[in-house]
Amino acid sequence: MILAELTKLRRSALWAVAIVLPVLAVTAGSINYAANQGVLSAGWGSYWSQVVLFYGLFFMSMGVAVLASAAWRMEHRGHNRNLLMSTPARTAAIVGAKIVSLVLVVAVMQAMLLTLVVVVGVFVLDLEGAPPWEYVVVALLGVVAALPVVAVQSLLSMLIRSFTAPVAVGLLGCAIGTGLLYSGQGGVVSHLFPHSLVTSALFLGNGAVADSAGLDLAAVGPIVFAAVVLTTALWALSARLLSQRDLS
Amino acid sequence: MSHVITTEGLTKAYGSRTVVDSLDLRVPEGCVYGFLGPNGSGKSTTMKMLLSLVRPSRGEVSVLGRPMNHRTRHELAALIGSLIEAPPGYGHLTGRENMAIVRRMLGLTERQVERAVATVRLRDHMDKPVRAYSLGMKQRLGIAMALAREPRLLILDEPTNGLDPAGIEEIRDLLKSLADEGVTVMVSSHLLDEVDRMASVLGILGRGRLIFQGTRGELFDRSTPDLVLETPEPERVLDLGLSAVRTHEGLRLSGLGEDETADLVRRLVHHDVPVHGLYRVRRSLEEVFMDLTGREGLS
Ligand SMILES: Nc1ncnc2c1ncn2[C@@H]1O[C@H](COP(=O)(O)OP(=O)(O)OP(=O)(O)O)[C@@H](O)[C@H]1O
Ligand SMILES: [Mg+2]
Repeated sequence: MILAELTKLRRSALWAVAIVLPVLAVTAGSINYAANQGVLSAGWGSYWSQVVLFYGLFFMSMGVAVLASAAWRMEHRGHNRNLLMSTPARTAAIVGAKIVSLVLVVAVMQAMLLTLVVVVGVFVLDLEGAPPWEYVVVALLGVVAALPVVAVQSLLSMLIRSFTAPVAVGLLGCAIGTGLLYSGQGGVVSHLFPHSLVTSALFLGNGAVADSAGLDLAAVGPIVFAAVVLTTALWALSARLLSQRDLS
Repeated sequence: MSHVITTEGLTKAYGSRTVVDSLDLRVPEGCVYGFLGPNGSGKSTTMKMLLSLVRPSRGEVSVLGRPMNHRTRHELAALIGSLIEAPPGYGHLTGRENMAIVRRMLGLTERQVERAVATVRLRDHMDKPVRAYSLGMKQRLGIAMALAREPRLLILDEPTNGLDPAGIEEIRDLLKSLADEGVTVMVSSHLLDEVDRMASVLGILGRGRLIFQGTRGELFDRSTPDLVLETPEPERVLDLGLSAVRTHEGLRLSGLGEDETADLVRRLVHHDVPVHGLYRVRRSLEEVFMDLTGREGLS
């Protein structure tokens, strides 16, 4: 099932999203960094904080929303859902394979982000010293924290034929997520909301954002735990709905 | 004869509209079953319920001797090849890649895929993206996807849509030969002519109801052919209170069975009506079909 999903990714428009979003995030971050050199302290820390500011709050979750919509559009189009549902796979496998293939694209998107951050930091902004290795951990953690967003957006796009409606819901999710994080509602509540989980993860060890936690086990543990629990629940729900609801 | 598909009271309602109403289908093993009905009569919806792509509002489906529902769907899926409404296919991928997806989803061998592709004569087009396919080529790809698993039951919804006459003939021959090998084939169409020459059993839907199910012969018997009465004085026949339509030969009378015909002849003789000829017109199956669906079918 997963192999079949990977085949569908060939020459798919999904890859464009995985490239364009990091480019946008790094461009916006670099411009902000360059324009505010008076206010910001120079170096990798401030530069990174500007990049993940945009990326963590909106770009990444919105990217996932667009990816999920695009992935399910392939199935909504041309009656491919009929094909999908006339295989011996259980719906849990069908939905699971979709989530896995989306996560793979998200991972590539993160790798793209890291690469761009380093390339622009070293060659364009001419920052001092080597880029901190922590960014790799944060980027990886971002993939894990994005799992629930992948699962929830995949569920929405599976149920809703429209491409834009689930993306709009995703945007709303980002807004609510940000609201949750900065209304003092942090902690458990924001960890249970997919979109704020992504933001929390990407802001780890980030000096420029107030009350973002340090990159240690006490911060990483709950994020990973919440991601796994949320994703499992959403995955089970998706499988159930796919099995019980009329498709076409 | 055992049945590969049976349904009991199969019903689907969307809101307050019942689009498929209490179907008791019986599809015998190893036959080509022609599933006919005008547009909107519920053929696709019925087939989707048979495949458990849509949940019935009421009623049961049993396929290959097992209940078919959303819980058992995946157990039966490998045995059933299907093509519903429009051919599937991922447009950005080539025919070969599309078949690779099917192969992986169903755990098939390369050989099975190659055979299916050869059967529908699509070998030369496997490296083109599917979005560049003609409708007929997409239809063939869809059939290949259904065939590759070497199913025991094929459910095809208007598979000849978009095919040229030669293509239709090919599919017809293919389905007949599959049935000869023991595969049960259920094929829908809104044109009787299209399934007439391959189907040995017919099911006819009209407004969601099964208005006929049986062999071709039984369908013929179901309707009484019209009588043509050749007479130079048709008015006198009409004066007898018979409902008839005037034609250039004389009159055409519908719905008269054997006894009614004998009675008619007696009355004509009694009233001394000159009769030049009296015969039945053999109607084409198409006319019988139109008659059935026209009367009870089209909304
Ligand atoms: N998801 C749905 N929601 C509401 N109504 C539906 C739905 N699907 C089908 N219908 C209605 O059910 C009726 C039967 O549709 P169906 O597609 O089964 O007919 P059909 O016999 O396959 O017609 P055609 O020959 O045009 O393919 C139609 O009137 C259609 O509008
Ligand atoms: Mg139809």
